[in-house]
Amino acid sequence: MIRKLVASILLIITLVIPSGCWDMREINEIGLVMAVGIDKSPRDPNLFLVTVQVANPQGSGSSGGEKQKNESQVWIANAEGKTIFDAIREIARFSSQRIMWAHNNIIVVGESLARDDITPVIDFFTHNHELRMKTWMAVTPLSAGDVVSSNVGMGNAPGRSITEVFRFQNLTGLGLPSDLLNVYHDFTSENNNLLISSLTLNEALTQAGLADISENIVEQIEVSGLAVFDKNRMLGYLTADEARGLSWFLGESPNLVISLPHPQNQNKSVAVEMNAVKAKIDSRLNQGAPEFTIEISGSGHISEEDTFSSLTINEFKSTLENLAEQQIAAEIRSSVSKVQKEYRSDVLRFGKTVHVQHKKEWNRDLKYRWAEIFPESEVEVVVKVSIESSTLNQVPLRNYKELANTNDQSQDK
Amino acid sequence: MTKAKISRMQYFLLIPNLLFPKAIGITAGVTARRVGGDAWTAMSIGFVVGASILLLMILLSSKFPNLTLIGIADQVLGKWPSKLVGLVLLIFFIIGFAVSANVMTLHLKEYFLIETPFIIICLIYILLCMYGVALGVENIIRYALLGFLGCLLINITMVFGTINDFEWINFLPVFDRGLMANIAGSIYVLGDLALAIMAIGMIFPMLNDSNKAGWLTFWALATSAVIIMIWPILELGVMGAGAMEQYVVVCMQQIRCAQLTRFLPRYELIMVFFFTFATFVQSATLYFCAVYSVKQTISVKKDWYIVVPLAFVLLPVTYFMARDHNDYVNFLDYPWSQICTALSIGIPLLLFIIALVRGQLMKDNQSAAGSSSA
Repeated sequence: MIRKLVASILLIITLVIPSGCWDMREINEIGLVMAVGIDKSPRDPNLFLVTVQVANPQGSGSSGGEKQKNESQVWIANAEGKTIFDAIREIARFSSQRIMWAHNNIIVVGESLARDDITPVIDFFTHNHELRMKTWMAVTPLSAGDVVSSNVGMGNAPGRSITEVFRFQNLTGLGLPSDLLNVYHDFTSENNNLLISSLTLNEALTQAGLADISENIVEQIEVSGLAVFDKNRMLGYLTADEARGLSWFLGESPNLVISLPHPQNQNKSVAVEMNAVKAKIDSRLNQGAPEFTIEISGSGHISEEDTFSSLTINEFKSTLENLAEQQIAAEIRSSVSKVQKEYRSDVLRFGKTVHVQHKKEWNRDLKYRWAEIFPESEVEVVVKVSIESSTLNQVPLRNYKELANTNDQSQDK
Repeated sequence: MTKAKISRMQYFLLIPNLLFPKAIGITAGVTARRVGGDAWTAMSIGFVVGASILLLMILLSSKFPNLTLIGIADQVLGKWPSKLVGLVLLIFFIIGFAVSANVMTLHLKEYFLIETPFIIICLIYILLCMYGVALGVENIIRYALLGFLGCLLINITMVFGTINDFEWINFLPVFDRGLMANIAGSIYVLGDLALAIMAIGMIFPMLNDSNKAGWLTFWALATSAVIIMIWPILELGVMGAGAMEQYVVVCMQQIRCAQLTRFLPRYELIMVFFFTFATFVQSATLYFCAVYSVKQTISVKKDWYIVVPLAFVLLPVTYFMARDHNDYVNFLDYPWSQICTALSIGIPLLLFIIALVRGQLMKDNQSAAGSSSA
C-alpha cells in the first residue's frame, strides 16, 4: 500500500514538473531564419555585421488579397557585434520574434571576412545546437548582407530558392555542394583545405510580358565558382569554368554537359550529357616525391546535335568519345594547375591520398613538408569516356533532303 | 525483489541495452580524441577484450548459478572480503549510474532543454529510475525489448539519413596511430563493458534458465557489437575524426548531420525518443544493482530503506559529475575508464583464479545459496 502511495506521489510530481517546461517556445513567438549573411562591419573591421532573412508567414499566404501582396515574404534585419552571437542578440533588441536557426537554409560569408578568418563563422554555427549540419554555406565577393537581402528565385522564400540553386549544382558543376558538414569536415581535417562555393548576384529578367522591361530586371543569385582557402583564410576564387574542372573528381557524381565540336563541322557543336562519372586519385612516390594520377571514367549520352552528319553511329560515338576525353582532361589540368601553382593550397585531397597510400612516408616526413611538396607534384590525368547512346536516336541526325537529292541525281544519271 | 526471475529472451535483450547508450553517445568522442581516425578499430579491440571478460564472468557465474558477484566473493574469499567487494561494487554502481544517467541528461540539456536547470533534469530522471527500481528489476528488464527495438530504429534512421555523406576514405589509413595506441585507446570501451560485466554479475542468478548461458551471452554480445559499432563507423565516415574529436555527445552531432530526404530534414527528437528506452534500462539496472549491493553487503531486508536514501546520494553525484560537461568527459577519460578496466578485469579474474585454485569450480555449487544468494 505504502509502495503504491509513494509511486503515485512520484508520478504526480514527475507529471507536474515537466508541464511548465523552461524551454517552451510558442510557434508565433519564433522568427524562423531562412538565410544569414556574415560580414565584417564597414564601420569597424573588428565588428561582425550579421544580416538575417526571417520568414514572414503573414506575407506568404496563398489566399492572396491586396494587403498580403504588399507584404514582404521575408523580414530582413541586421546588427553588429564583437562576436557573431553578440550581433545576433542585438537583433533581439528590435525583433518582435525570437530568432530560431533550426530551419536556416544557407550561411553566406562576405569575402572580406573570409579572407581575414572564417573560423568564427564555422565555430559559431557548429556550436549552435539548433542549426542543421546540412545547411549550405557560401562565400560571396559582394556583401553577404546584400546577397541575403536580395529577392531571388522562383519560390516564395528567397532563402529556400538559394537552397534549390545549390541543390542542382551537380547539373552545372560550377560549384561544389559545400554544406556545413563538408566544410566542418575539411576544416577539422588534418589533410584537406577548404573549398566553398561562391555566390554572386546577376541581373535577370522576370515577369516577362509587362510593359516596362527595365522594371522587371531583378538581381538573381548564381553560383559563380569556388572560394579557395588555406587553413582558415580565403586565398581567392576559382571561376565557374575552373570549378567545373574540379567537379569532375571532387563533385558528387556530376551530371555535367559537355559541348564538343561536331566531328564534321568544327563550327557546330554536339552536347553530351555525362553520367555515372567515377573518379579515383592514385599516388606513387618517385624518389620520395609524390606523383598523382587522376582517373576519370564515365558514360555519356548524346543529347543534342547542332548539324547533320553522314557518319555511322559507331564512328560518331567513337570520335565524340575521344573529343570528350580530351576536353575533360584539359578542364581538369587547367583547374588543378591553378590550384597548385597559384594558390598552392591542397584543396584537392592529394595529401589525404598520400597519407592513405604511403602512410609511413607521410607520417615520417611528407606531412611536415607538404606545403612545399604539393605545388610541385606531377599530376597525370587519365579520362575514359564511353558514349553509350545517342538519346532516343538510332543514327546521327541525317540531312534527308540532301540525301534525297543525291539519290535523285544518281537516278537521273 | 530477491525472487525476481527473468527469461532468457529478456536476458538476451538486456545486454545490448546495458552497452548501447553510453557507447554510442559519449565513448566514440572520447576514443577519437585519443586515437583520431582509429576510433573504430580501437573500439573494436576494446569490445573484443571486454566481451571476453564478460564471457569469463558468465563462466564464473554459471559455476555459482544462485549467487551474485558478492555471493561468489563470499563463497570464494570469505565473509569480510566479500563485504569489501560489496562496498566497491556499491560505489562502482553509484558512479556507473551517474555516468549512464548523464548520457541522457546531457542529450537533453545540450540539444533540447537548454534553459532548463540541469538539476531538474537530473532530478526527474532519477525519480523515473527510482520508480522503475521500486517496481522491480523484472519490470525494468521488460523495457529491454522496447530499448532494443528503439536501438534498431535509431540505427536504421541514422543509417538512411547519413549514408549519402559517408566516405570510406575517412577510415584510411587503418591503424594510422599504430597497434599499441589502438590498444591503449580501447580502454574507453572497457569502461562501457564494465557496466555490463558487473551488472550481469549481479543479475545472472535471476536468469530462470542458465543452461548454455555462455552462448546466449555470446550472441547477445555479437548483436550488441553490430548495433554499437555501426555508430563509430558511420560517425567517422560521415563527420571525420576531426569533427568527432570536437564534441561531447558525438551521436547527437551525427544525428544533426542526418537528413531523411528533403521532406524530413531533421528528426533529432524522434531519434532521442528511440534512444530513451535503452538509456532508461541501463540507468535503472545500475540503480537496482547499487540497491542490491547494499542489500547483500549489509543485509537490509526492506528495499525502500535503500531505494529512497540512495536517490539522495545519486542526485548530487549525477549533478556534480556533469554540471560542467568538460569535467564529465575528463572524468570518463581519466580515471573512470582506468578504474572500470581494473575492476571489470580484476574482480572476475581474481574470483575465478582463487575459485579454480580452491577447486570450487569443479564442485557443484548449485545449492550454495547462503544469505547473500539471489
